[in-house]
Amino acid sequence: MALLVRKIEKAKWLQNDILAGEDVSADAITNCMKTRMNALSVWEIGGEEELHNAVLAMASQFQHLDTIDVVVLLPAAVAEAGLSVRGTNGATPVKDLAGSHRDLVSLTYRSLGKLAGLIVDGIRQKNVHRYTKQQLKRLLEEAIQAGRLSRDQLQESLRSRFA
Amino acid sequence: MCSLNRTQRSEQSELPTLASETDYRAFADEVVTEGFIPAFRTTTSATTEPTSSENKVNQARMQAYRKELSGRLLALIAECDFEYGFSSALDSFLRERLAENAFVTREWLNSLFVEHFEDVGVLTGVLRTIAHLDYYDVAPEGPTMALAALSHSSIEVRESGIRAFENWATADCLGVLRNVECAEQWMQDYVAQVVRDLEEELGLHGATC
Repeated sequence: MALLVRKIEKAKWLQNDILAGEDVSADAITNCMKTRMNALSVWEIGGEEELHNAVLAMASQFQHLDTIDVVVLLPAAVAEAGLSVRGTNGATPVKDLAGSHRDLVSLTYRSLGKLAGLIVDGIRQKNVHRYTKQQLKRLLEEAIQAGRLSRDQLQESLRSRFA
Repeated sequence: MCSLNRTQRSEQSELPTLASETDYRAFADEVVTEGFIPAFRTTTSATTEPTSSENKVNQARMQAYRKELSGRLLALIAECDFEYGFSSALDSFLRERLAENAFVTREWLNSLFVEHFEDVGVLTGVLRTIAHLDYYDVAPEGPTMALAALSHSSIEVRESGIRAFENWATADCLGVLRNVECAEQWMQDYVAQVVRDLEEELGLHGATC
């Protein structure tokens, strides 16, 4: 079953006790749902077993290896919330993943609120996954060894970390 | 017992070497009297009046930083788009300050950190940025700030402290993280994962520091 994956900062979403029904903090909205051209970037995967691919697509663009959180969204719930998904080319240097990039488009004040609700549901249902710095390093190393990514395609600040 | 390998750092250092303490004192006096470092002293007291040339140089630089750069740093923190995985304008700003005078920059950051301990944005901004720098460039003040962060009431500040130790990834950091207790289960799980990661990275599986 296809899934959509987006990077978030879990601690910002937990500033307020959203699990007990408190409202989402403004920091979570403005930091984790910063739109560009009324769109938000997500990565589509075939199932949870491919989650590492979405994370690899993101991490391969990083300037620093920092621990990240990703939330997994169900496309059916996204469609039910009235959000439109459009396929766009991803900026990842991992070529076989570039085609799995999607944008949530035509976002408005109201639809952003619905998306925030989906992220809260994701946190409640434990569909947020944390990848530590070391786990990201391993993902990138494996991709380099498998020939999916070359060291030279990484940001300059990261290259020295990989042989 | 673990210890920090400072010898290696000093070998990499590009600080000018002065033949003797007398040379250094003369150098420090010259720097101040020639006006290379403006003396921005605003308050002095009998107990804080610098008595040696080294103290004069450090205090003058510290006051220059406080007067000229504190506002700029706070503005950068307010304006910066901090996103995990990416650099911010604050990264390069602090790198430049550290290259200029590491000793005073660390002291200056530490004092700002204490003065703004109620401001989550300032604390997380400083911690996120120094976490991207080499441990030995920011120690001992950097790890001290991260330690203080672990006891903050804000979940974001506490997490930033853990993230800093994770990024620095030294044996000392592992020793700190092994002794961190978090009220939130998800954060305790994160600490446990980082401890496993660092043990693997440092080749210290099962060893105690």
